[in-house]
Amino acid sequence: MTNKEKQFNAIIAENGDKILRICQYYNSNSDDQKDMYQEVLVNIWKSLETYRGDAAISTWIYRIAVNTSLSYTGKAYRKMKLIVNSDTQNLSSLIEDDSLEDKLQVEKQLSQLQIELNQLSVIDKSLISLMLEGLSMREIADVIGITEPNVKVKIHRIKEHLKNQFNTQNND
Amino acid sequence: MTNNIENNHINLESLTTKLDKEDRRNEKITKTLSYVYFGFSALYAFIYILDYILDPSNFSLFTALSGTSFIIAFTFFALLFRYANKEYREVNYALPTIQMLSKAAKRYKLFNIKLPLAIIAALFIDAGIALNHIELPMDEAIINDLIKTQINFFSAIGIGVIAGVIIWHIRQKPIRDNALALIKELEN
Repeated sequence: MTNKEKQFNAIIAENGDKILRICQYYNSNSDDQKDMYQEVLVNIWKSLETYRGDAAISTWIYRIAVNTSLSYTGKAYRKMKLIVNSDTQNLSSLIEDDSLEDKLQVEKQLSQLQIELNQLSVIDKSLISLMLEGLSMREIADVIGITEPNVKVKIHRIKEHLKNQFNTQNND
Repeated sequence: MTNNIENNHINLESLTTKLDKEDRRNEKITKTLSYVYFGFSALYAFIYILDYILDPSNFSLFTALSGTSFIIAFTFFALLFRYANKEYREVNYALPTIQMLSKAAKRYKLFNIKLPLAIIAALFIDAGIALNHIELPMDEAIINDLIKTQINFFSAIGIGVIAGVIIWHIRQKPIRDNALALIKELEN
């Protein structure tokens, strides 16, 4: 086994879960998840020689996963969905509502959230997926390549939009 | 999730082998074509120099200009493939998203640096062919032959350009448009 293969296998062993979670955000069926997972691996392999250690390995992995998801979903741009479930990490940061304790209410909100998330643009979906992964604004900025204040503004806009949609739905 | 990851780990070894092969193959194609054209260029130079040394009386100015045109054309083609090789090697998914998108948009532009290089190379090939047909004094047969060659050459180039633009429009323009739309959204 070459050094590149050893390094590659070590990165995947350590970050496989992370990559798969990103793939799960964008694909509901396991075959699509697996296809995207493999495509992310291909791109990690191709980019391995350019990794100089100037970014944290997690940032580097997320960049590849998000960039691949953009290219991957580009093939089926209109079909792209962001899938969240009740196990999704940091979900509470997206739904700022105390009534989450009520299970039925959670399920209702989750399905409503699912609908609203899928109305978002592809970039907003990427930002939300990184936020759900628990990345800080600084880390999201590093992954996407825009400034931290720009990320904050975008996330704030998305949250406001979701909140408005929730309020409108609840009032109806 | 665990099952999926386990399955992917099982496939990992064969995947890395496939990846390695693909990496090498893609890089090799453009690199080889670049070397082939540099080789053609050197070979033509060698043939024309040898021709001149062996029979200078039969070596006209037009022959020299024709040979030079072919050498320049092949050099341009070699540079074109060298550039394509560099472009392939520089595709990097580990860049920040906005940078990756900008590079993709630039790469899939219709009028990028490869186009002028290809046009210059084609014009030099045409000049080489035309100069090869010229004999002084020019009579009607030579002029007709020259015109026929030009019509054939430019018809072939025209068909090639139209096919290229159609392929670009179908395969690459949507990628570029998508990348530009995403950049615009990120910058807003």
